[in-house]
Parts: sequence; structure tokens; C-alpha cells
Amino acid sequence: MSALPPVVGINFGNSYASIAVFTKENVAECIANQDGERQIACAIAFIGQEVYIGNQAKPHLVKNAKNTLLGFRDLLGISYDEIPSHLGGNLVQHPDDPSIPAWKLEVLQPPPRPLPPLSNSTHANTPSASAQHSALATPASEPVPVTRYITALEASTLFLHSLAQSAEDFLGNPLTGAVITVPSSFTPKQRSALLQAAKDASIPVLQLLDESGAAALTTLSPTWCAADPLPGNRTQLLIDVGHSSTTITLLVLREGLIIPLASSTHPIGGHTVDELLLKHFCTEFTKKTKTPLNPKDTSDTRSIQKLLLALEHTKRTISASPTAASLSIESLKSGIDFTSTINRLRFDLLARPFYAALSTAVQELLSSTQQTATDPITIDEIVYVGGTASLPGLDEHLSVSSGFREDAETAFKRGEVVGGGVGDPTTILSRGCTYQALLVSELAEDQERNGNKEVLEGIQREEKKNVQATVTSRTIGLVFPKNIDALTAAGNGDAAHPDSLTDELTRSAGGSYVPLILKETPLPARRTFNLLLILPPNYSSPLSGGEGGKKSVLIELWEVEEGIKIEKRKPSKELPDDDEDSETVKDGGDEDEEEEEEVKHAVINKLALVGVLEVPVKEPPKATGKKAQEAKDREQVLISIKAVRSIDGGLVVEACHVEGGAKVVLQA
Amino acid sequence: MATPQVLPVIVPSPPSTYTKQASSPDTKLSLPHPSGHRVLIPAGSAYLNHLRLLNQHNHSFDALDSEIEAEEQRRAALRNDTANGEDDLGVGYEPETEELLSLDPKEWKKHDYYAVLGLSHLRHEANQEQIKIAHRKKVLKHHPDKKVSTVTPSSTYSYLGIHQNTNDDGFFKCIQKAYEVLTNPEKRRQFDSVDPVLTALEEVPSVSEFKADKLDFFKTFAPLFELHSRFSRIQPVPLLGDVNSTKEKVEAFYTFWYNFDSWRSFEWMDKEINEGSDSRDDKRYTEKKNKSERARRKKEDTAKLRALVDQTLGLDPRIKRIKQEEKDAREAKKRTGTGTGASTPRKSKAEEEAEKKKQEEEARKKEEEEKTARAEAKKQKQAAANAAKKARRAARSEDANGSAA
Repeated sequence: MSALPPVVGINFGNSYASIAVFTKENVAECIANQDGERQIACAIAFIGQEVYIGNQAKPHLVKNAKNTLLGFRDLLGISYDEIPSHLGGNLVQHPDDPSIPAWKLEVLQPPPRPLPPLSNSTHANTPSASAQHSALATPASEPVPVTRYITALEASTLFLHSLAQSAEDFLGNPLTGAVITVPSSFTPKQRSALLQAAKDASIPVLQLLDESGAAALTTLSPTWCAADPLPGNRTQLLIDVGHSSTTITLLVLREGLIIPLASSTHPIGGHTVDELLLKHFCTEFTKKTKTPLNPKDTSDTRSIQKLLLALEHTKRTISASPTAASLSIESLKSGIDFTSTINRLRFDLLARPFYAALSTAVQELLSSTQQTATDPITIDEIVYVGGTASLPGLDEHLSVSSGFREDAETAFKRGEVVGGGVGDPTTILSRGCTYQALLVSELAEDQERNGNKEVLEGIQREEKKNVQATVTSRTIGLVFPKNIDALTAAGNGDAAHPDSLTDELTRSAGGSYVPLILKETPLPARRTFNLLLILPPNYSSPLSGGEGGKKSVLIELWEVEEGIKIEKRKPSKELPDDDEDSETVKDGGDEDEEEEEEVKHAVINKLALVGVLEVPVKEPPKATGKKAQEAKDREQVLISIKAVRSIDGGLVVEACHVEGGAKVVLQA
Repeated sequence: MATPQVLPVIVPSPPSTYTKQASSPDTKLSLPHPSGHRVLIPAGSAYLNHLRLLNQHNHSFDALDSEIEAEEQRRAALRNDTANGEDDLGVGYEPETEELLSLDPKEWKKHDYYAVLGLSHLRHEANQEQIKIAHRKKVLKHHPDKKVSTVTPSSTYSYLGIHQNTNDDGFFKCIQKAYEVLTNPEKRRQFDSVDPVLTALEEVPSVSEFKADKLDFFKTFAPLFELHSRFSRIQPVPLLGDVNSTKEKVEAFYTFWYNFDSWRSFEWMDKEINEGSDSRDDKRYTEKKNKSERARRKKEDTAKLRALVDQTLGLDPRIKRIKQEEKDAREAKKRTGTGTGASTPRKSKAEEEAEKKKQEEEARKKEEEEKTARAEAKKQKQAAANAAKKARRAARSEDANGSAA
């Protein structure tokens, strides 16, 4: 087996759970439980003497809904009075402690054991045998019906235990650590209840990880977008569409550090889609068979449950394949079978209200973000989490209606969703937990050795001083200043010259712009990277004193503010001349004249000049012939930049030519 | 630290009238938000490093770097430990170069199978278990089922004008071929005989080169013999040894290598017999040619090895030493022989020699006696014969006298 420790990541949702472990290739992968399910329904059914856990319990919603438990995670650590109205259901007060909500179940208790075998009888251990041969009174051999109370804690313990068991069976070793997801909305009381449940299920919990953290961690893993890794600094929108609720989180990633900016939870989700589909199929059934089926009618509850179970399958089919999905139920109502299909177009049409609600929620979140109202075009990546998020029309609808950038990354665009790809929304959370479990277990091992448990305990306790960060308020960027003449020349279609490839960002910065330390970067921060400078022919720094001086590259260091420029595009509009352009730089595109077509551009406002760097560059060795001409046309210089910003805001930037050259240091 | 990211930037030509704007001293950087403005999610390795930085290293990146480096080294060592354990029998991991991945499966005869399976560090020493493990590792990674065919060429690649290798299962075919050859003992023997990497190392420096470059004898020749030793049918093979090897060892070495029994063969270099052709003659002709070619190569190889041993013997500083030693011994013997006090073994030797002489003399005497005895017997015989003759003659004359009378 793999050299990695047997750790497991558990995504414990309210409706579905999943588990992930490290496979032989040291990649976290979601695994199936004994029933072959990767998405394990959070359901427990007590039928007679039997207990069904997971997807097996779901069909019992039809026959024995009273003894089937759902949604116990959200009830963890909640007292009876605090139960939200929509979760009420069939909960009662626990007889021992009226503040604890519990399910009242009718189950069968196993009969007491028969008496020990008599020494002279060989068949005495079967009840019938003992009844025949022994003179003693026979104990009751039939199970007795009893009433049992199950709390959310007990249900969670049972369920978590079955998850851990599946993982252990897969790994072949007892678990040494586990990380379990926890919604960001959980109160400390709920968290401790979850911890208690895991402890009762004898799961060695290393950490309770916020769901958004788990998702972001998966996107930071090397397998994510492995062909073309995304930049380490990006703004990410997490859309976690669960069955019962949807959480949208805006995150910034700064070289692996995850900082949530804003988050909102909405009571829409998979059940919203279910309701819409249910209505559609009920109408169809009524129309086809002339037998009325009404989702609201309580006498139809069992039929509706049957339909819901079948819909689950239909939704999965439509998510996985571009063709139509079928639905077939035996004896839906009054002994009538029902078979139907739904194609993707119809499905999207039906689900449209849900998509629209989601889109509104996203826009609300983005516009309400405190201090920094975020424009959709600044979002670099959208991450979908949860089974409902794999619905095919969701991504298409959102990217169109919410105004994201066209090149914003999503797993759908990369085609990594279907077929267990790395972008599969149903497995992201559990995989993220697995990565974290590995990190923490390695850390625990190290600290065990060093006898220093400071960092580990800091993580587990989530102390305020450990998670609260000092973050930068403004971005610092590098600008390679540009000749204004070249700017105007750009309009004249001087296509051969690289300067003509000018976008709004370059215009607003007055040259090529490279962000150095972005805003919202936790301090202390260090950035090291190499810049491959593609120099224009006969580049010379104006400060180096003409021909005689040593060759150097001029870099300005600015503190900047990101902005959005809304451009009104008319079919025949002349490019703005110099004066206008410098004006837009100044006021950052605040002008908002109404036009037919609006095109948004990211621009920057240069606020303050931090300093000017002149990086000496060694002359490249003289080449001859054709090569020399090429080298002259596109001279390339590799410069390494190292910037460190300390916790009190001090900045040190070092730059030098990689092939050897003096180091230029700038302090501010 | 990981290799830094490289960002391409198109630098515009700067304004010719650029003047350095003095950054006025009162324009300071905007202060960061106070602590607690943002709350981090405690997840990921970057967060761990952030914590270490805050709590243990007093915000010093250098201290953090050194800790991380030490950690990495420890981990690597640990990984090696487990890797050399029973886990993968030391197969380990070898980086796969672009070149290796783009091998053409049709050119299978020219491949380096050990490199294909990631066993270049073991080569002919790899056992079947290791080959099996290495093959499994490679298959897990390169099986066509693992490749997602729908992946569009990544943008950086297309930007650079490099198209990703669409011939995805090409390398997998190479892996299968390599496994097939290396697990078949006969085919593996043939391949090992002409192993391209090791054959390239068999270059022997000429005597003049050796002398001109003042090469170290043992460093030059010991690896060569080690290379050849794998072909020996008799194992273990005596190796070159060092300057202080005893006379017996040196002699055993040269005797062994002069009578080297090699299993090396050159079937691998055979020309492909054209299976398509129906002409039996054609086939036989090729077979014959191959056979003679094999024999020629074998002969060449034997000659080469012979030349190597000859050359080694010629240059061996130990031979000189041994001869010198023998000479010294002889001289020492002489000196002690002429010396005043004859040592006891010498005495006994002298006695022995005397005895030998005696014996020889006796033998000679005996011989002489025998000789004389033989001569006498001859004389007697002759005398007897003469007497008989005389008697016969007398008798005849008497008869004649009698008849005459």
C-alpha cells in the first residue's frame, strides 16, 4: 500500500456524505462505501431489528417513513426550542431530557437469549429443542416491539461510524486520523456536538475543517488543473449547492493562504429542483393516466416519496450524459406504472427558476461585500461544490447571467466534471479534507518528535491569534513605463510592434503592469518570481545615461488600486487621444454614461510611486548572422524579483538579472 | 524552495524624456488593515507555514526556509528508507524525460528497456521481482485508460507552439515490449549482451592514450572488468583488485580472464528475417548471414576481451612488483647460499641434493653394471656360437676326411 498514513477525509453534509482517502498514486480520491456509493445518503432506517445506514435506508422512506431519519447533522447540538421550523418533522422531546430533540421510533428488540444448554441435551440451544426437551419455562423467542428514542448525536455517531468503517475496509488499516467538514454557520456548541459524535464513533478527529476551506484546499492541490496550473493568487467564488441549502463564498487565495471575504447561505438547493421536477412529472402523470397526483396532497405522500427517489436517479443521469434521462416507477399510484423521459432542454427550462435564484444570490453577495464591492469580472475562478452543482445548465446560466469574465476558470469549461474528474463537485470537499488530514497528521508526527505542539494545537483550537491575519490594504505592482508616443502609435495599427498590443490595463498603468503584492495578502508576505522580459529592439533605460552607461531595465514600483472601466462601445468610435486617456487613468473610469453596449475592463489607478528600480542587465553574448538579428528583434532577459513585506507594512524589494548582475534593493 | 514562477512580460520602450519622479518622503505606503480584519481558514500547507512564521520564527523567512529545507530532507530520507524496504525493492522513481516518453514503439529494437521501466540504476542487476514492480508502476501511470483523451492541449503548450503528444499509448506499447523482453530469460540475455548503455562504457583506452593522459591503472581498468564480469558463466568472477593484491590473486585473475567463458551472444543484432517472403532460399540466406555475423561478432568480442586482458597485463604495475619480488627472493637465496652459516633448511636441501646425486650415481652404476653384464652375456653367447661353429666345421671336415678316405 501507499507510504502515506491511513487518514480519511469525511465530508459530512446534511443530506449526503462522502469519504476520500489517498490511493496508491498518492492522490486523494473519493471512495465508494460497501454499497458502491460515492455519494452516501445521510439516512438511517430502523426496520424491525435491522438498521440500514446510507443509501439503503432511503427506500424505506416509502414504506416506513416514520422510522427513517434524515437531516440529523443540522440538528447536532441544537436544543428542542431552537429547532428551525422547517426541520421540525417528526421530532419529539427526549423523555430523559426535554431540551434534546429526538426521533421516536418503533423498533423490535431482539429476544433475550435462550437459557444455556442443558448438559444432557445436545439440541438444547435451539429454542424449539429446549422447548421439547426441557421442563423449564421457555423464554420468549419472538422479538418484542419497543419504543426507542434516537437523538441527532446518536444518529450521527451511527452514521459516522459506518463511514469510518468503509474507509478502514478500503485501506485495510485502522484509521490514524480524520478531518471532517463543518459548515461555516455552525456554532461552537454544534461543533463540539459533532466532535462528540465522532469521538463516540471512535474516529480520531484531527480537525474540523470549514467547508469552504476544504473546497479551496482541493483547488490548491497539484491535481487541480494539473495541465495548466492556475496562478497562486486568485479570487475564487465557491458555489456549494447542497440538497437543502446553498452557500456562496467569496474567497481570495494568496499563495496557498485562504481568506474568505464574504459568504451567504440560501435555503435553495437540490430540493428546489426536486420540487420543480415533481410538479412537472405529477402533471404529466395526471395527464397521462387521468389519476390525480398532487404533491401537496398528504394522501399521496408515499407516491411522492417514490417519485422523489426516482428523480434522484434522473438528476444524476442528466448530469452525467448529454442525452435525455428516463424516469420509470412501478406502481406509482393506484397500481399504475409510470415511465417518462426528460431531455436537457426541458430540464433546463424547468430548473430555470432555481438557476435564476442562484444567480441573484451570487450577485447579491458580490455587491454586498463589505469594504470591497467585488465586480464579477474580477473573479478568476468559480468552483462548484455539491451534487446539484453538477447539473449541466447551472454553469452556463450563471456565467451568462452573472457577468463573469469569459476566461474565468470553471471545472465545466475544462471538462473535468463528468466521469470522476478532478472537478467533480460531489467529491471536492472530501478530497480537500484528505489533504488536510495528511498535513495535520504529518505535523502531529513531527511535533511529537520535537516535543513542540504549538502549531498543532493552534490549528486544532483555531485560536483567534492564529486565524486572524493582518492583511494589506492596497496592491503594490511593477510598472514598466511606456512611451506615450508608442501609445498613440498603437492606434495606427503598427502590428509588428509588441507595443501595439495594448489593452486597457496597460493604458491605465502607462506601461506593462505586473502585480507584486496584491491587496488582502496576509502579512508577513514574501513573493519571489522571475520575470522573463521581452525587450523591444534597442531598449535602453533613459536614466542610464545614454550609450556609454551600462545596460539596465527600468521598473517603477507603484501602489495601485484596482478599478473597473466601463467602456461604451459604439460600432464606429475613434480611439481616445492622449489627453482623454490620461484622464481615464486619473479618475479610474467612474464615468457612467448610458450606452447600448457596456464592456468592462480591469484597470488600475496609480496612487503613489513607491520607487524606481534600475536593474542592471548583462549584455548577452554576441551572436552572429541570422541569430543576431533574431536576438536583436526579441531580446529576452530573465530578472528575479524578491519582495518581502513585513508585518508592520515595511517593504523590501530586491531585483537582479538572473545571469549574474548587481542586486538592486529598494526599501520603503 | 520551489523553483520560482516565471512570468513573461512584454516590456515597452520607455519614454525618451523620462525623468525620475522623486518619490516624496511623505508618500508612504498605505498601512495594512489591522489584525482581525480578515480571518484565515486554517487549512493547507501555506497556512502551516504562516503559523510557523508567526509563532516560531519571529517573522523571519530565512528561519522558515531552513526549517522547511531540513524537513524536506528528513522526509526524503524517510521516503528512501521505505522505498528500499520490502515495499518496492529499491525500484524507486526515475524522472521521465520528454525524449523517453516520445519513443517510437516501432523502433523497439533500439530502445533501452531498463530506462523505459525506470530501472536504469539497476540494469542487468534487476531481478524479476523488481522488473515486475517497475512494470506495474509504469503501467499504473501510463495505461491508455488513465489518459483523458478529451483534455484539450493546454494553453501554454499551444502558445509555445508545442503540440502535446497525441500518440498517447505509444509509450505504453514501449513499456509492454520492455516487460516482454526483460521477463523472458532468453530474450533478456540477448538484450543484456548488447545493452546499449553498458556497451558504450566498454571503450578501452589505448596504451598510448593511457600513458599520455597518465591515467590511473586501477581506476581505468577495474570498471572495465566489472562490466565484462556479468558475461561470465562462472561466478563469482575474480576482479582486478588493488596494488597490494598477492601474487596468487593476480595470477588467478589473469588465468581466469585468459580462459574467460562468456555467455555473451549477438542474436539481438540479427537482421530481421523477412517473414513475408515465400522464398525459402531467401530465408536461409539471411539465416546463414546472421549466423556468420553472430560468429564474427562473438569472435570480435572475444578478441577484444583478449586484447583488453593483454593490455592490462602489459600495464599492470603489480606484475613488475611481483617479478621484482621473485628476483629479490632469488638473490636473497643466492646470498644466503654463499654465506658462512648455512641455515638448516638449506643444509637439508644440500643433503637432499647429495642424496640425489648418490642415487643418480647408483643408478648410473647399476646401469653400467647391467651394460657390462649384457656385454659379457653377448660375448659368451658369441663365444658359444663360435665354438659351435668350430665344432660343426671340425665335424664337417672330419666327414669330408672320412669320405675322402
